[in-house]
Amino acid sequence: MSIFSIILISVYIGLSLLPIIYNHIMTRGGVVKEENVKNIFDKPNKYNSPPLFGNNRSLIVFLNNLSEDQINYILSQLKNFSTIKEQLSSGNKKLN
Amino acid sequence: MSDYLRRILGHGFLAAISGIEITNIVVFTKLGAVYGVLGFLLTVIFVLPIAYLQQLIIIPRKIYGRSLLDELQLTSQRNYKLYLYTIYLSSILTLIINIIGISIIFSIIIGSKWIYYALLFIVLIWILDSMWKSKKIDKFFLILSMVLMIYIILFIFELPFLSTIGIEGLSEKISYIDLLALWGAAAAPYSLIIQDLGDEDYTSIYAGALSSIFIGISIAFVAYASMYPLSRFNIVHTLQPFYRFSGYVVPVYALGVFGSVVLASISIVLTLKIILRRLRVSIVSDTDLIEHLLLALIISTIPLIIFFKVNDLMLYTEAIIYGSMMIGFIFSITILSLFMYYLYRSINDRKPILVFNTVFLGFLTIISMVLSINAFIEAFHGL
Repeated sequence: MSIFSIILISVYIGLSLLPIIYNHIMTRGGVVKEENVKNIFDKPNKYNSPPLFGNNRSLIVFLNNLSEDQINYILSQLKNFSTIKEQLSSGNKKLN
Repeated sequence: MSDYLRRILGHGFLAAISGIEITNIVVFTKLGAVYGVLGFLLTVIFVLPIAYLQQLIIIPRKIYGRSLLDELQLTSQRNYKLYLYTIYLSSILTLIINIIGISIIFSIIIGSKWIYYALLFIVLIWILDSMWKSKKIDKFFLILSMVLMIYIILFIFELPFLSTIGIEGLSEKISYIDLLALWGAAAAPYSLIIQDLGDEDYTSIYAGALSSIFIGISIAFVAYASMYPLSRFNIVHTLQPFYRFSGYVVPVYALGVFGSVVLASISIVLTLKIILRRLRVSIVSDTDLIEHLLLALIISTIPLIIFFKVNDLMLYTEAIIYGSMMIGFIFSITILSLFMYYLYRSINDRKPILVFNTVFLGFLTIISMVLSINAFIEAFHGL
């Protein structure tokens, strides 16, 4: 191994140590004050909203947006389903 | 446990030590055997950027008081998903390589078919993972990482024998494939997630980097000292150096490999769980999630399957090195997404620390991209 390659490798090692030392010194004072930081999340947008329930595909939002007719229709369908189930379990082959 | 020791054995140490698995062992062995002294120095050069990346994960927590994953989620959804997907991909790939690799090593040492060991190992990981709900996780981790220190002990004990061999660099030209494989082995992307769970202390990161450098150098040195001809480099040959030493070395080596692989696998499973939980929140529909994950699984396993077919179950080591190369390539995309985050942040508030890290991370991204492109050109040229 030549001297040149040893010098080159030590330069590489020094270069990769540089940012580690820099970061260590710069953040030694602990947590930076929050108020000095410009908050980019002030305006509500689609990324800012709570992800689990804020999404328009979630079930809660879907149910919340239903009109009264739609809810009644869904409820009647559910009732129908239960009667069909009862008829089947009681042994009727023809459904009313 | 004293306060200082607790600071040293923190999450950074955990992340660094869990990053050492079968890819590291194989790649370090090959580097030591093929490139000599240059190989040891390369391990140092490639481990230091990883310590730097671990620091970068803590910095958002120091400045904004949020973890990096939360910060990524808040700044850009696409970037966040890119970050998670790339880590998911490389973690799956690492897990598969580890399970296959350790079962082959055990089948060589003990006997019988490797597939039985693979099944045993999967069951073991499953059991250990279910045991994890107890609060003794940290202690378990630490005990396993102590097993890894065996490499250094081995290095020190065998030093009188090793000193008879002259230290010279072998005049072998460095191939980009090996460099990218080393990058992928040193990186271990899942350790970024493990680091993200932790506290805001740098001490454990330095301790982890130092110990992984020690482990890397000792593995490479043992391989170099054995002077094994490397015309057909096989995983059997990675064991060859250790057989040349006294009788207790092979069981110790097996124990070290076992400990490191178990530690890595458990942390990968933990990482995958965290990623799945995060993706489930952001994607909402479960069918979407399953599609994404299946796609990722298929993409990550294809290269390994191809290489196992092509090499006809002979050159396991080559397959592991190619797999490690793929991890290195995926990891360079992970770094790109980290760079995007830092760029975005430094444009919004121009703190010197953010700007400096953006510039340096940019350099790192360019270097890793160039490395990946060159390695791929070399790999396809070889085919």
